[in-house]
Amino acid sequence: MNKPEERLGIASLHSLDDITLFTDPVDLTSYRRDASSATPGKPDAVVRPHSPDAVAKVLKQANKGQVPVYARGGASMYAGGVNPQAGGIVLDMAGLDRILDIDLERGIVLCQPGVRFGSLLKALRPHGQTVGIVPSTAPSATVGGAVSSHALGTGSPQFQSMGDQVAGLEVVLANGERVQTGSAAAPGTGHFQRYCIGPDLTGLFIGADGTLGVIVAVALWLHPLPAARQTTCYGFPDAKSIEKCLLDIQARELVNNIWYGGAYEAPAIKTRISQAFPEKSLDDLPSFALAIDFRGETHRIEEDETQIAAIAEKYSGRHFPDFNEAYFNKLRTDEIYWYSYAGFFALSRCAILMSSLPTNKLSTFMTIIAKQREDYPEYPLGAAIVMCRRGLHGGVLSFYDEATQWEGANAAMKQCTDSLVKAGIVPYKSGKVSAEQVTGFSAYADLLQRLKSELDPNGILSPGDLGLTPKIPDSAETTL
Amino acid sequence: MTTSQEHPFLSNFLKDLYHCSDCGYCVEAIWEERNIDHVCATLQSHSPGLAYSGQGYISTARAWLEGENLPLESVAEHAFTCTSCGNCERICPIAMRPMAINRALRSELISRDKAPDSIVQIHENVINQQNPAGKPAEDRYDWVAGQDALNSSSAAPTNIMYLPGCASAYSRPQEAQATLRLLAASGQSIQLLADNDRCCGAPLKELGFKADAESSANQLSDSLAQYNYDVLLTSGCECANSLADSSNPTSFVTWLSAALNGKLLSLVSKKTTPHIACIESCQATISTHTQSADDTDNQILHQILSQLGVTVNGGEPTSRYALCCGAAGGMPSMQPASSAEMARARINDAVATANSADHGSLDALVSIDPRCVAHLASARADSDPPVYGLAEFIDTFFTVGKGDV
Ligand SMILES: Cc1cc2nc3c(=O)[nH]c(=O)nc-3n(C[C@H](O)[C@H](O)[C@H](O)COP(=O)(O)OP(=O)(O)OC[C@H]3O[C@@H](n4cnc5c(N)ncnc54)[C@H](O)[C@@H]3O)c2cc1C
Ligand code: SF4
Ligand code: SF4
Repeated sequence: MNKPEERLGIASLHSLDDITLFTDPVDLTSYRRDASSATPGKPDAVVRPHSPDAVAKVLKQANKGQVPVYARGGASMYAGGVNPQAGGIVLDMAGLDRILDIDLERGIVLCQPGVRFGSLLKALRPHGQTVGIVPSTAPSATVGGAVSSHALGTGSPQFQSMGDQVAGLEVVLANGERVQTGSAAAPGTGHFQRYCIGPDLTGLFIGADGTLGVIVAVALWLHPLPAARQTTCYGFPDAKSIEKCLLDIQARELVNNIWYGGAYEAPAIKTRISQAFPEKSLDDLPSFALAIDFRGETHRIEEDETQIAAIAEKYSGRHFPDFNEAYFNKLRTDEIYWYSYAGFFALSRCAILMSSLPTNKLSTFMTIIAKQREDYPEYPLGAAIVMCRRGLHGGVLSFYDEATQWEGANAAMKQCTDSLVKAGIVPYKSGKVSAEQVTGFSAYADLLQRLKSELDPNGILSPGDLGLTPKIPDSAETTL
Repeated sequence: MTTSQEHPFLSNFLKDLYHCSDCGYCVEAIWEERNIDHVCATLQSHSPGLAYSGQGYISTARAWLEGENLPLESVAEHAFTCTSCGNCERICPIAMRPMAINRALRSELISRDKAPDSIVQIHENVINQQNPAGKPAEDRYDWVAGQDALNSSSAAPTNIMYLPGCASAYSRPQEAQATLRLLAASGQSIQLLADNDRCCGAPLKELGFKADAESSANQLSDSLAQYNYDVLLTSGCECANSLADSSNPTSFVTWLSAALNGKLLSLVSKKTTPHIACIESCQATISTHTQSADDTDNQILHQILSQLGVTVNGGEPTSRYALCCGAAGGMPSMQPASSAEMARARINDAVATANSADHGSLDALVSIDPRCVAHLASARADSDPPVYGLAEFIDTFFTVGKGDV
């Protein structure tokens, strides 16, 4: 019983054509972690299924042998969800990469979870269509990973978050059973409505980090490609004024033609302006910039822009064309995605924490960031504030050298997370990095654990994520 | 962690190894606005296992540096199965160098006698016969026999030293011969290194034989220094890159563009509008010898062809992330089946893209690097269009005349 596949009880998978199995130690080194600062794990095997049936076969075998299984998409998340800390199998979902149907009448695209956003957008463009939420890691992030980790950002002012864009799912449960959610639960019906039949089961698997089932198909709502786009920036004297402005914009629902909205703070503004216009004085720069990427019909954009400019003015906000020219317009029209911050700022790995906050806590969020900077000056900290239809997302990025600063960076992020939670700001993408905080939300955590016990009684799916306790012992190897 | 004595090559890359953000762009990226359609040919055609990607080489290198007991035969099998196309480095948003890290991995393995036999053989071939294929060194200029282009006037305005490179000299002599004819037609005087020519070291550099690669490049540069010439022209993209620092070479495609713009050559198409597909060379995308990443040899090729009225790829733009055809990085020796599969994939893609634009059947598949041309030609099926190097294509499809200088 020396071979890992024999120890894991999955040796029979070798003979299946719709599965690629890796057990060579060199192959396994590449499947230990995602883009987060969470502790990596060591898988015993990597299985790359090429069909939903193959996923079901793997889960059945793994369930029988109580072997942990971690679904992995593009592994670009910053929450450690894919890190196989309990060993076992990494299920590389990137092999399930087909777009199954583009149904323009129903307004639905049905795809396998390993489809990269880049492929999806490319396939939809000739139909004049797109999807609502696009993570800034779009070239490599998978749809399944985005659904399982609550993607957001581009599209959030209009469409809130990835979960709101899912019309239905097909999921394989820990015992290998396949389940359709939404209207597709009724055999022969297909996806066209999420909230029907009874309670919404789709939502159980969104943001679940693979803990309750493995997604094998995703139905997303389609949206027409916008006819026009325009970027605009406004400068504000302080956090409170930008906060009030955002509340006003959201209350009036002036978000229907906003594809992306972000708030930038003084250090970022200073850097961009000094890079682009070295001759300009930095003395009179605003403390905050609200940057908006409008997309829609030209006349609607114009109408909304006029109203938003008036609202901004009410809260001491002024047009800030220099920031638009120096940075934001180029960023958005060149589609440079995540080059935007991490790349340009630090050329470094960064620990990222994404949190969800009500808009009226923007200034609280900024106060916590300021305190964090004071306490941990050795970790340059970036704050990214992303506008949603309602509420905001606040990202915290801490750049570090992994050879020397890993433990310190994690300690700093933990302090930051704790301070945010205490202030009523909640972790948005929990995975393993915020698992401890999730466990602290006791009534919610208890119910989640009960659902987990029902759906995955052996605790094989993503043990450790969301603070869900595995029934399997710490080291999978000792029992196998 | 390791000491620099234990891993002298890898320890030069600690910054990259500990700053890579694991974003996965070097594994796979599809990005229409930037004309990126996949990144790593090895993952596409050899194995989807991430250990064969740029990110994978970083993970392996880190694990080894951190003292993990990895089976070195397997490390070698992975490390030497990389085409050295450089796409992983080009796409990295934070300027990490995964390809260079893999080269360092190769060097570490070589220093422990862990390089696979097929790779050691390439090294011996270059050392003993001055070419990676191990063909007799004395046959290097056999392709010149019968070419009268060399008799051009000594009063010519520009004196060109033409270096065909090992691939043209041995595997694709048609390209070297056509190049010579075009140079002669432009009225330039031409010199050849002949007995003093040798491998520029590029194949050894790709494989991680760092010192021998430098020594080969230096020996060739020293030979070149004995001659007087105005322009050093080479057919091999990898030769141009390898000699970039020491000898300021010009690639054939750059020369051709200048010759056409300077009206040294006139080309009249024998067919109304040749319809071709270009298979871009990853080595031309690397183009360290060109000034700007936006001005690679692949892009110059497209400009020339459109200037000549050739319909290329049905109007598709060139990719800044050309996928390797399987000729580079020791792939044909190390993984012959995957290397052939890569060539088939490039041919199939090129034919499908060109055909989808409905310009009629393809007249030719064209690539600018003779190493790619030879490799693609070996994978070509009877039903595929013929494969040509750029010089061969011009020589075949155009009536070549001297320009109006
Ligand atoms: C620099 C940077 C910028 C980023 N910007 C954004 C942004 O703008 N917006 C945003 O939302 N995110 C962003 N992210 C985070 C991440 O890239 C995205 O959330 C992305 O959508 C994750 O997809 P993935 O395929 O990489 O998922 P993975 O990391 O592979 O997986 C994420 C989680 O989903 C689970 N999972 C994966 N596939 C399945 C499946 N088929 N079934 C069940 N569970 C599964 C995994 O176990 C894991 O818990 C950013 C990350 C970085 C490093
Ligand atoms: S150099 Fe090319 S083949 Fe090698 S890992 Fe990078 S992208 Fe893949
Ligand atoms: S090498 Fe660059 S592109 Fe590749 S995973 Fe690391 S940071 Fe991303």
